[in-house]
Amino acid sequence: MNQEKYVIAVLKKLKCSGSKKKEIRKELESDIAAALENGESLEEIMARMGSPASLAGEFNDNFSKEEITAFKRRKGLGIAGVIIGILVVLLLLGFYMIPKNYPMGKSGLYTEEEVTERTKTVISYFDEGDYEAIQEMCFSKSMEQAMTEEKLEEVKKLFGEDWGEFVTFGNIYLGEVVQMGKSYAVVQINATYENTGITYTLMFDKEMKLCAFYVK
Amino acid sequence: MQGRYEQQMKKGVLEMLVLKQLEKEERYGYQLISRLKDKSGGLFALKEGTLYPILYRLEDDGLVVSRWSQPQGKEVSRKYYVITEEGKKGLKELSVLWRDFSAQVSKMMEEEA
Repeated sequence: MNQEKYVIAVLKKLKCSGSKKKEIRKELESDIAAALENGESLEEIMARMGSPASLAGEFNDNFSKEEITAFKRRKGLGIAGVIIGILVVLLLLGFYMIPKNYPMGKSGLYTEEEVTERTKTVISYFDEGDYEAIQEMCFSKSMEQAMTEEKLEEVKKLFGEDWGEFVTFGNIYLGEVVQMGKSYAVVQINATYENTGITYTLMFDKEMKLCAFYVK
Repeated sequence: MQGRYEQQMKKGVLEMLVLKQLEKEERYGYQLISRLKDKSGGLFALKEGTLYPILYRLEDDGLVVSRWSQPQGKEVSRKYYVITEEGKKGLKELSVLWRDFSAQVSKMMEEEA
């Protein structure tokens, strides 16, 4: 172990303030230099001073009560600071992950007209059974794979064997959702068919790709 | 066990002995360690971990002050400790106390039980 490593190993185990550690470092370095000048070898000096742990232990045993108390308080505050820091990060992360709702147009990425038109197009493809066209509008491969003819026909059957012809659209609600830094347009729209009424909920990303399609 | 008691006894007089070494001239840590060891015939062979906290306490109490030397060439800077007027006064009081203390302890120890 060289001189620097020895001194650093001592400092790491000291229970005192940072300024006191700096002071002790200078003093130890100065003492080692003086001992070397006096003819002692570094090995002899380190053997005389003891292992870093025992030398630091001796310092710690001899520090004033005030120094030890201040060190413990600072250490406690340091731990509390780390815990508070982690909690703040978790809260911010939680806030970042929670979807936040905003009125349509807030981000400047979407307009009511564009989103409404896109929604009606998707629903018309759904009504016509043009599922391939819907798949082409999906934002990801996994969603494309979920939007197969078989699955969408199954969904339709859940709400009645025969919906009849499309009659008209009813109420429409538009908004924006921001989750984990990404903005989505969300639409809820009622559609009336000859034999039933359906509420669709759709989500689009900023490229106007379909991200979600709910039927109820 | 004996070592622990010996250490406790020594601890009680260290401040006084350190002040005594500074009475006539300023000294730095290594000098104090060497001097205490030599003068005591090896009885007070202090380690840095014992000496420095004593010096810090004496400094906090205003009995000594310190200064770092300006190194010349390749010399390493040294921290010199100097006794203050208050320290000199304190040393006198401790010397009196020690005389009474040691006399009483010796007397009691020499008495037959």
